[in-house]
This record gives sequence, structure tokens and C-alpha cells, in this order.
Amino acid sequence: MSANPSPRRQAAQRLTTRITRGLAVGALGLTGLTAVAAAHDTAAHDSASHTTNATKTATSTSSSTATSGDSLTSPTSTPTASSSSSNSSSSSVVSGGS
Amino acid sequence: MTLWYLTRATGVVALVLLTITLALGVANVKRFHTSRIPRFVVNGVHRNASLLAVTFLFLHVLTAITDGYVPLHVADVFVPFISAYRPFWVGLGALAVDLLTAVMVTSLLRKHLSRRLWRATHWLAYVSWPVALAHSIGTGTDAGSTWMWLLIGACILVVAAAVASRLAPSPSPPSDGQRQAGRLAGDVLPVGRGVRSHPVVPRAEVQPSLESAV
Repeated sequence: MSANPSPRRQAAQRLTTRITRGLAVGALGLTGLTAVAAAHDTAAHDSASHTTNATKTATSTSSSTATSGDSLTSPTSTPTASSSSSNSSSSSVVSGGS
Repeated sequence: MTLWYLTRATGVVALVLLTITLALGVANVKRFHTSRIPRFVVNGVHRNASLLAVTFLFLHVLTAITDGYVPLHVADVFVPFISAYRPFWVGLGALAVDLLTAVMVTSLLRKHLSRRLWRATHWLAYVSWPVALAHSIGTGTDAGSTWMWLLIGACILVVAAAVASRLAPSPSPPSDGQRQAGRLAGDVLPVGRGVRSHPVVPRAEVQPSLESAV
């Protein structure tokens, strides 16, 4: 590569830089938008699952099986997704969708 | 919680950037250029987009490991199908990471490798994209969202168009008569590898083939 690239090549390099900068800014913007959408979806899912859980708790009698079907959208209260059956026979954690 | 959102967001963006990189790679192979966008720019943006994709992939992996909600270890990121959590779908992600790492490393060491080896490894990029897509659909928390499906649909359309363009036969090189006629007329025709130059022949010999070409 020569020390002094031609004006045409310099212009091409500037264009490459501009497009790359646009891509980077766009990627960061999309990251922000996606994160916000994810948070929004999680909040909506949480409120829906809280309602469902409350109904289930009111109607359930003995079983203590916890099914975290879509719980990865709200990773606040569930244990890790690995299955663990530590104590009683009726207690189990079923990991499911994310 | 923020890390978890970042994991999801950077995964989506990495897929989009990978799609752009693949499309630009095909455009580069097909020698796409316009009067405003020379091939040098297409090649440069392809390279920079791939570096951006790898950066976001790294952030995706880093945030997934450090978040800690899903039991992921460093080995799970590089060794496919050993993860305790969703071994198949996370394993596809690990496979995509491995393939992209191979493509990236061989591209960075391109000057020290034979062109044949570099090309063979670069073909892995075509394999890594559907693997990454399957990972994002199978594991992705947002795969049930409408906006995610729209994004995935757009990515599939872009790659399908790029691959169709890649598989389409290139326009046939100009015939000997056209080349010679162009030279006689003072045109500048691209002469690449595999295109032999021919001695200039008198106009009388060129004329018949030129007429048949028209």
C-alpha cells in the first residue's frame, strides 16, 4: 500500500468509515430498542403469570410442583434452570421455555 | 436483570449483523459495485461488519455467562451440546461460535494461509448463519414476539436473496470478438484472471463476429 493513496481511494476509505459508523450506531440503537422490547415483554409476561399463579394458588390443594415454563423472561424468583429434586417426593422444578 | 436484557438484545443484533456480513460477502464475491460505491467499499464494509458481529457475539456470550440466571459455563460456549440448560439449542449457539471463530481467525491470518484453505474455511460462514438462526429461534426468549419474527423473516429474505444471487450464473465473459472490438474502439474492459489477452487483429477480421454477437 502506498503512503499517499489516490484521492479516489481516500474517498472510498471515507465512505467505508461513514458506512461502518452508521452500522455501529444502528447496531447500538437496535440493541437499545431490543432491550426495551424485552423488558416490556417481560413486564407483560410477569403480570400475566402473576395473575395465573394467583388463580392456581387459590385453587390448588396439595401439589407443590412448580413449573417454570416461560420463566426465563422473568428471572427474578425462580431457581436456576437445572432440575433439582432435593427433598420431598412431591417437590420438583421443571425447567422449560425461555 | 439488565444483563439478561442485554444478552437477548446483543444476540438479536449479532444475528442481524451476521446477516449483513453474509450479504456483503456475497456482494463482494459477485463483484458488486456502483459508480458511487466501488468494490473497495463493499469489501471494507464487509470486513468491518464482520468485526462488529463478532463484537456483539462476544457481548452476547459474556452477558449470558455473567448474568448467572441460566447455568452457563465458559466450556458450554465453545463445546457444543454439553450445556446443562437446553443442550441442543445452546449447543447450536456454541457451534455457531466455533464456526465464526474459525472464519475470523483464518481471515485475520489470511496472508499466512493458502488461498485454498482460507476459501474452504470461509465457506463455513454459510453454515454458521442457519445454525445461529436455529439457535436464536430455539433458545431465544424473544422468539415468540411478533417483532422478533419480523426481524427473523427480514434476515431470511436477505440471506435467501444473497444465496440465490451467489448461485446464479455470472454473466458470461465477453466473446473474443467483443473483446477485440472493444479494444479497437478504445474501450476499457476488465481483464481478470483467467481471461487471456489476445493480439489485436485487424478490423476486417473482427467485424463478422461483432455482427454475429449483435
